[in-house]
Amino acid sequence: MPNKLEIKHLTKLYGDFRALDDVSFTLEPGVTGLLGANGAGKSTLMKLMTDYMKRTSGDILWNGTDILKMGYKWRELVGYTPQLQGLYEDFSARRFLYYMGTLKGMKRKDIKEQTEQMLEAVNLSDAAHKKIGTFSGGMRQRVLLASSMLGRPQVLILDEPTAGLDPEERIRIRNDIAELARDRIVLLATHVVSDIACIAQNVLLMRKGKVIAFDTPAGMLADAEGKIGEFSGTYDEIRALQKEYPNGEIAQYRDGFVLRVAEDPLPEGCRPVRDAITLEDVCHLYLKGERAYG
Amino acid sequence: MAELRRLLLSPKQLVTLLMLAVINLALFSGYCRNVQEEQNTYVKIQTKSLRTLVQKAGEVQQEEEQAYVTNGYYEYLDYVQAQSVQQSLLGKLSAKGSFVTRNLEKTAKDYEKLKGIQLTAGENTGIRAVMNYRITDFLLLIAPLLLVLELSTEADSAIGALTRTTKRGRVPLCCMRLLSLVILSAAAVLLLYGGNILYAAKTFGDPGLQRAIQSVPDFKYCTVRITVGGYYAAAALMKIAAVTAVTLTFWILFTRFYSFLSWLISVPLLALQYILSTAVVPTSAFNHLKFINVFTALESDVFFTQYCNLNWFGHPSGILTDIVAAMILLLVILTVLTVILIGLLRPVRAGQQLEAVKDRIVCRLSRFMPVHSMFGAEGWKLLLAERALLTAAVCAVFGVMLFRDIHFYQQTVDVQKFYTKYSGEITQDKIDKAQKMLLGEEDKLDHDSQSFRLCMANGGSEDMKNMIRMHIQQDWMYMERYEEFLDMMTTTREAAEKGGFKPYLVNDNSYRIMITENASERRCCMLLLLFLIFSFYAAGAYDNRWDTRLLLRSTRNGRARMLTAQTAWISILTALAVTAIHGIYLLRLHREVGFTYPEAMMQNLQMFRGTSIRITLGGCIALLMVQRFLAAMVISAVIMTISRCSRTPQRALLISLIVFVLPTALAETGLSVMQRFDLVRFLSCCKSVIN
Repeated sequence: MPNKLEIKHLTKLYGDFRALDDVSFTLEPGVTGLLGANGAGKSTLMKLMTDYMKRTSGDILWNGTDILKMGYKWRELVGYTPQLQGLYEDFSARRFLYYMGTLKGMKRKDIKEQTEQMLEAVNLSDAAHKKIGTFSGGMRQRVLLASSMLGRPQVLILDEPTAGLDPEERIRIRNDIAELARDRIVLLATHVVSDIACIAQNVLLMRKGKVIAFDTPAGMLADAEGKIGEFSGTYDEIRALQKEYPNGEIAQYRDGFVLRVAEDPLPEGCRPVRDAITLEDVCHLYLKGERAYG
Repeated sequence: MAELRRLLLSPKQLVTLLMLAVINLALFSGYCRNVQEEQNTYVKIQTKSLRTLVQKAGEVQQEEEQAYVTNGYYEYLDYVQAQSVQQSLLGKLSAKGSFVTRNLEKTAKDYEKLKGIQLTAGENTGIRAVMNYRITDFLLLIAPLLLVLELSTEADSAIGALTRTTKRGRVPLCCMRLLSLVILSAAAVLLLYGGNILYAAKTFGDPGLQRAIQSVPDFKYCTVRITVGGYYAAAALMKIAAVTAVTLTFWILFTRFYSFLSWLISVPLLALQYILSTAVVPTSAFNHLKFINVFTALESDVFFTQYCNLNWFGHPSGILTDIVAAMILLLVILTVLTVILIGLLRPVRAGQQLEAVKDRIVCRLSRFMPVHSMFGAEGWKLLLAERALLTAAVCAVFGVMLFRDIHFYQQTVDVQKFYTKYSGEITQDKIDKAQKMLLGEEDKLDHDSQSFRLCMANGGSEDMKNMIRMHIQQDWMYMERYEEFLDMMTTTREAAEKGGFKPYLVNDNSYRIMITENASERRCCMLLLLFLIFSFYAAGAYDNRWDTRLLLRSTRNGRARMLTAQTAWISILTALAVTAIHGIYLLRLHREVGFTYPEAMMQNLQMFRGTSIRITLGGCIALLMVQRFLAAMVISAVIMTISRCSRTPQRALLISLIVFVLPTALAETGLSVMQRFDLVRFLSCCKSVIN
């Protein structure tokens, strides 16, 4: 029977502010993309899942057992990449991974073996002896990714793991995550929607602490059909229209400018888009008015 | 001006300066207390003992000081002149115009200028304390060097590139930063060195700033007409110049070279300067290296307490003139170099090849890096990454300096003799012998009294009468002392019979010193406190610094096990520090005074008689050490808690210093309200043993 991570009626209050409001969903092996604007509650959700902070109410169940009851046994199963690059800048990359291996309770032989493998996987073998403080943002991100994958955890919680990476690296890491996710649960929060579109089996959309959609990308795209449309016109006409639809996206084609809007129902004069609907459009549709995802 | 404000008036800078001043004051006040105790002990020996030699030696010393001011110095001046005439005759034998001849002429001329100088006796102890206290010189360098390291790091960052694109971001900015460094050096000197002067004046009395510096015997060889106040000002200026020179050298090196090469040049350079300043003999042919030296300039006193002319191509030149000229030249060169290399030229660093070589070596070695256990990993973090090992090394250096100053005072010879003869298990035989001795003293007293009466009757000389009078006084004193000893033996035996332990007569001197709060003990505790703060301030805050805790807590061992490993390391280091610092202190005490009969029950000593716990004297030492360890552990735990709650290690350090060192320093200065917050007293646990 495949592993299952159930989130049931999870709520987190910061004083009066509801960071998470009765969130429920179930994760199974494969990549689940987590999208939402800043402040939607994604990082809070991840912190609760790693038992970093105390939940106000609700349950997080691993194969039916509450993770709080599991204690360190749950943390043995988890690999986590936090959004903030929480690395010891005085440590070399190799030293940091050795340290993380020790913290994860791995055997010495495994730590050595897996550290070299992970360094190779994230393309850091040559810089492994250098201090993390001298690394670029992308390199630091790769160290974090490598550390979260150490010990081959059953559940990977990745908070913007590809932030700061160049396109080539991003594709490589994305593929690695997809490969890893074949037999594990991966929860991937990112603002790069295309990353999710490529590798996610499910997408979880959050808004103001609530889950507003949880479906496969195909299901979401089908649901958005008839709700995505385009206005055509000159640049001035399109600029004037954008004032009416501030969330609309201007694009330039060979035959002129268009304003792509996500509305339900579509406004008059707007030509519905049939085939070229993307996950980005779905996000526009669900997270109207909330600019930054991830 | 904005740059000046940013660099000098930032809370970080102000607090750093303030904390350095507090630490310096705490250490210096301990040193002054030590000096005071030495003085007091010396006086006690003088007044209690009737041994003429000791009494006279003290009087001679006092008289010498007075005679030096009234007569001795002037005689010395005449002597120099007479010597110069005598030696010039010999000098004529050597080649005319040689260094030897010129030196003789110059010496005579220099001392000639001092004729008619008015010396005034006054309080010299404070001046000596300020002069002999060396730790301040090293502390002076800390704040400016920290700023230099910050500036060089900033030069590499985006803000460095950004500022250089602005109109005033090169030479004007560099000049402002240079000015900031000079002001910071001056502020450090005024705060730390000035603090020492004020504290010494408060402790030992007004040094008499208007007096000629030659009034202090240590400055006998000074040929400059300068007052005590003038000397303080000149020494401060010299210190500012030396600190600025070191700071600018570091700034240039760290901005123009890669980090590895910078350290590779700067550390040996400083070490070499220090070694030359201490190891070269003033009269050697290479004395230029000793006197034209940044560290000697930092010490600054040498130029006023010693008379020496350097040989510059056969021409003698006074060391003070030479160092002033050399410092001015050095500062001008460093200033020009700073403006050109840091302000004007593009920020290119040299030494990349060396850095690459270092990288290659490190890369190869890092493959053999050991994988630690949880305990090992935390140890590595605490000792190396959080630099507790470095702190230990620095504390060891300070410890050596501290233990060099520590002296314990012996009992008078007669007391020592008595203990040598009668200490040990108290038997009736011993009591009888002591009684016989007492009777002998009584006989002696009778005999001396009879002699005195005879002397009076026969009209003996005053000297003879005085001698017999002194003998009688001595007999009385010995008699009283032997009565005390006898009484001690009998009461101890009674107490032992009552308490059911073996009666011992034990020399209590070492035990008394051990449990008495004295300056040396306080300084040891202060060193321990500073070690604990500087070693453990990062234990916890280090994990918060880069938000690493979030990641750590998501791992299997990142919570309780990590805390356990950290606590274990802190306990081990605390135990080692307590054992090392207090242990060396007790060993010194044992070697100089001696802990005798550790197997005897502690109730054998009068001072422990009311104590309810029944342990041996050896056990009492062990108990004290355990108490000290526990007290140190409490402080370590609080430091660790502060650290875990702090966002950055710097903040943790600051809070720890404010919480622990500030009240202790204030208590040390004699502020009675602060006595109850005196952490040094808490660490020493002296009182708790008796209670």
